[in-house]
Amino acid sequence: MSTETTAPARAGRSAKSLRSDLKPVWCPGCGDYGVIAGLDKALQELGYARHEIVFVSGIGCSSRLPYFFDTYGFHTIHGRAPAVALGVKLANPKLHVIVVGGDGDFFSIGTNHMVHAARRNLDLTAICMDNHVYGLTKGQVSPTSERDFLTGSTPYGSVEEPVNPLVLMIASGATFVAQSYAANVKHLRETIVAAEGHPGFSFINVISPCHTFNREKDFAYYKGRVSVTEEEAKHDRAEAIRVILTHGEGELLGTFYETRRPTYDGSLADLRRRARERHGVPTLEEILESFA
Amino acid sequence: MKARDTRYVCLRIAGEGGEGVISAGELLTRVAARRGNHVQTFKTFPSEVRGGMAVFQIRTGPEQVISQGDYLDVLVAFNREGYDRNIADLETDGVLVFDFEPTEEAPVRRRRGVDYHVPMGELAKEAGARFGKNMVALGAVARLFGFPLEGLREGIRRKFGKKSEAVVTANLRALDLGARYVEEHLEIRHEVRFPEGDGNPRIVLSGNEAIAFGAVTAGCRFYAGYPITPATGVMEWLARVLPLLDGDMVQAEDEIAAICMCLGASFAGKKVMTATSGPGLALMSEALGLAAMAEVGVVVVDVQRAGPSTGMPTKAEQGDLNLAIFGAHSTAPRVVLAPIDIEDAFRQTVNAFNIATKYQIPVILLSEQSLGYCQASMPRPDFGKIDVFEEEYATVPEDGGDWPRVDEITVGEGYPMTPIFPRYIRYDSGVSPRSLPGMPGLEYRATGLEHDEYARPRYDPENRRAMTAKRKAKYESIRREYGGAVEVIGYPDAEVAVSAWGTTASVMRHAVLRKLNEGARIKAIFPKILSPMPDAAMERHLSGVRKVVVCEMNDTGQYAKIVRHRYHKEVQAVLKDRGLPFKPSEIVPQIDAALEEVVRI
Ligand SMILES: Cc1ncc(C[n+]2csc(CCOP(=O)(O)OP(=O)(O)O)c2C)c(N)n1
Ligand code: SF4
Ligand SMILES: [Mg+2]
Repeated sequence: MSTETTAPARAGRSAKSLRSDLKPVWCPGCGDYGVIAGLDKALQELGYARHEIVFVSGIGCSSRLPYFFDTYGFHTIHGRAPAVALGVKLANPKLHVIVVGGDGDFFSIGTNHMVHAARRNLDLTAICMDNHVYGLTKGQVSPTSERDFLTGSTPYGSVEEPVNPLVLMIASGATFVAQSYAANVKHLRETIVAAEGHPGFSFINVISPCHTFNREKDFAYYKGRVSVTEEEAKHDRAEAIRVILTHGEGELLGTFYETRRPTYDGSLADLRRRARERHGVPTLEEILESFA
Repeated sequence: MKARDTRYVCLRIAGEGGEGVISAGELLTRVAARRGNHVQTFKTFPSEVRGGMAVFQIRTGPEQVISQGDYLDVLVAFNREGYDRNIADLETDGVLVFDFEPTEEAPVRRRRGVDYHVPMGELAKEAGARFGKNMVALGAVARLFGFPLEGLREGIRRKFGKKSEAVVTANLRALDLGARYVEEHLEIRHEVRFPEGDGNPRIVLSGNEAIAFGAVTAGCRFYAGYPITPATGVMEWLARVLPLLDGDMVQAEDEIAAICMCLGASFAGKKVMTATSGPGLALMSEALGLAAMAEVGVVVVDVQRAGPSTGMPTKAEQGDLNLAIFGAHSTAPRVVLAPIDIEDAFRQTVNAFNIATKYQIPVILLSEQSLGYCQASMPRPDFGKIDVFEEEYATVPEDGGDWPRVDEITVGEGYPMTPIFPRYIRYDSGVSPRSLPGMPGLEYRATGLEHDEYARPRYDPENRRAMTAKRKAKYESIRREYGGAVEVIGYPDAEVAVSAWGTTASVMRHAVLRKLNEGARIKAIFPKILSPMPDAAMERHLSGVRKVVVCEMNDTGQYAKIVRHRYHKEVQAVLKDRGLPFKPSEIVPQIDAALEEVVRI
C-alpha cells in the first residue's frame, strides 16, 4: 500500500475541480451527472474552499451526490437532510451548507422539514434533483409524478395530483426559488451561484431526468419543452406563484421569487446578543444560585 | 412493619388548583434546603380536563432523603376535597390541618391523631392577600412544627420582590396572621417537628432541571426538542439559559427533526442534546441508528411516562428500557444510563456527554416522570471536581508525513488506497479521531451507509465484518471505563439480593436500609449504566446470590428479564404498573418473603 502522498490525490481532474475520485454509481445518462457538473462549476466560480463546504443529503440516487465531491458531507437518512443541515449551519454559520436530494426525499418523507427550513429562512441552498420518480427503489410513483403515471406501485396509473415544489416552497417562506435543468449546465451554474449569493433559504428545483424508471421523460422529451423565463424574479409571493402556475405547456426555468428577510441563523445570533446584553453571561456558579 | 423514623417529616398540602398549593410547597422546600435540610418533593397538578386538586408533598430529614416514604406525618387540606382525597395517606396518629366546616353528614372522622382547624381563607382576606391562603397555611405550619418564620419571610421577599412591594407586604401579613392564629387559638398537642438543618445550604432542583443544568455543565451548547410531557421542562430551562452561554435552543418541527438537528450540530462540533418521552424516543429510532453508524455523539433524554401510545402522559412508568437498549435495527451500539435520584441525574448527564463525546456514540439517558417533576435537594456541586471530556481532533500529518495507516481490509479491488483522511480508522478502542467541517485537509463524508475507513461506501463482506466490530468495540472501551457504575450496599456474601434501576432503586435503597437496620443479611445492586451492561461487576456482585428481588415500574419486567437471562439468576420480579412509584412498604414484604424462601431451601 502506498501512503506517500500527503495532499489528497486529485489526479485526473482539473486543478480547481472539487470532485472526489469516487465514480458515481448512477446509470449512464442519469440527469444527476449534469447537477454534479453544474455544482462543480458554480463552486469554482464562487471560489469556496473545499473545507468550508458541507453537502447534506438524505437517501435516494440523487442523495449520493456528497461522495462525489471532496468537501465535507453528511449522507444521512431518508428525508431528514434539511433538519441535519440546520444543525450544521447553526453549529458553524461560516460553512456553506448545500442540501441535495430527490423529489421523494424532499417532498414525500421530508416535506415537513423542507417546509420548516423554508419558513425559518435558514441560510442555505437546497437543490432538488426532480426526476418525478423514485429512482433508488427502482421506479415507484413520487409526489411530483403526474396523474396516470404507470410505475411498479401504480400499475393502473397514479390517481394522485402532483405537488408543485416551487409553489410549495414559496408558500412555505423560502426567500429564493428557482427552477433549472440538468442538461443546461450553464443555467444551472448561474442559478446556483445566485442562490448561494442570496442570504436565506434558497430552493432550486432541477429537472433531472431518470431515463431508467421514467422513460418517457428523458432528455429527448425535455428537448424543446424547457425554456428560460424572460421575467425578472418577483418579490411578491402571489405574483411569483402566478407566473409559475399560469405558464402553459412545457417547463419554465428561471428564478421566480426572491425576497429578503432575516435569516434564521442571523436572527438567533441577534437573539443571543440581546439576551446576553440584558441578562449578562452567567457563570455556572451564578446559574447555580437560581436553585438556591 | 411500622418502624417509623421520626427524624423525617412528610407533609402534604392539598387544595384547589389556583390556591397556591404548589408555590407554597416550593417556598417551604427552598427554605428548608437553605437551612441545610435534605428535602424531596412530589407534586401533582390539577388535570387539564377536570380542574380540581393540586397536591404538593415535601419530605425532609437530616440525611439524604431517598424516597417519599409510606405515610404522611402532616396533611394540610385547603378544602373538603383535599381532606377526602388524601386522608387515607395520613398516619393514623398524624397531624391534620384543615380549612373547611365539617358537617354532620361529612364529619372529620379520625380515631387517633391531632386535628387543627385554621380558617386560612378568612385570614387571607383579612390580610388583604387575594391569593394568600397558601401563605396563611405556611405561617400556621411554621408555628405548629417549629419552622423559623424568618426564613419564610426572606423567601417571600425573594419570591415576590420582583412583583411589587404591595404583594410582598400582603403575603408577609398573611404569613404572620397564620402564625399568630396558631399562637392565639390553638393548643399544640402533637410531637411532629421539622428537623433542624445541618447548616450546609443545599440547592433544590427538579430532575428536568438537574439534567438541563448537567448538560450546560458538560458543555452542551445546542439543544433541539419537541414539547412533550414530562420532558418539556428540560427544553424550557435551556431556552432561557443556552442563549446566554452563546448556545442555541431550537424547537423542532418533530422529534425526528430534533435528533437530526442535534446530529448535524454534533457533526459540526457542538455538544448536543434532545429530550423527549417514550413516543418521541420511538420516532428517533432511525436517527439513533444513523448516529451509531456515522459515529456522531448525541445525548437523548427520555423522561419516561406511562404508555404505550399516549398512555397516561402525566403518570410514572419505567417502560422504555427495552426500547432504549434494543430499539434499533441491526447492530447499532448505543449507551443507556439511568439516574437514580436528582443528584445522580446531574452527574449522569455529565457522564452522558463525556461518553457521547469521547466514544462518538448516542447516549440515552432514561429519566422518569417521577424524577422529572420531583424537586429535591442536592449538595452544591464543586465544578472544579467535575470531569468534562474535551475532544482532540484529527490533524493533517505535519511536513508531508504519512496519514495513519489503515488496515489491509480496506484495500479491496476497485478501492484504490487513496491517501486521504481515514475518518473511520480502526483502532482497538473503536474510536477514530474526527475532524470538523471547516478544518482544511480533513474533508470526509459522514455516512449512514456501510463504509470503509476512508468513509467510502463499501458493501463487501470483509469490510462489513471489520466495521461492525469496530463500532462494537466501543462497548468494551465503555465497559472498561464505566463498568464500575453499580451501586452496592449491604453484605457482600448475602444470598438474597435486591436490584432495580432508575428511581425505583432509590425507593429500594430506603427499604434495604430499613431491613439492614433490622439485621437482615441482604444486599442491593443498582446498575446505573444499562447498555452496555456492566457484566463483570454484575457477575461479581451476583455470585453466591441465590435469589434476586427485582422491583420495576412496568408490567413485563424488562429489567428482571435481563437479570434472569443474562446472569442466570432466580428472579422474583415485583412489578407495579399503576402509573405510580413504589413505596418502601411495598418492597419490604417482598424482601422478607425472599429471605424466608432462601432459608427454606
Ligand atoms: C425510512 C426509509 N423509508 C424508505 C426508504 C427507501 N427509499 C430509499 S430512496 C427512496 C426514494 C427515492 O426517491 P427520490 O427521493 O426521488 O430520489 P431518487 O432516487 O429519485 O434520486 C426510498 C423510498 C429508506 N431508505 N428509508
Ligand atoms: S435510476 Fe434513475 S435516478 Fe437513479 S441513477 Fe439511474 S437514471 Fe439516475
Ligand atoms: Mg426522484
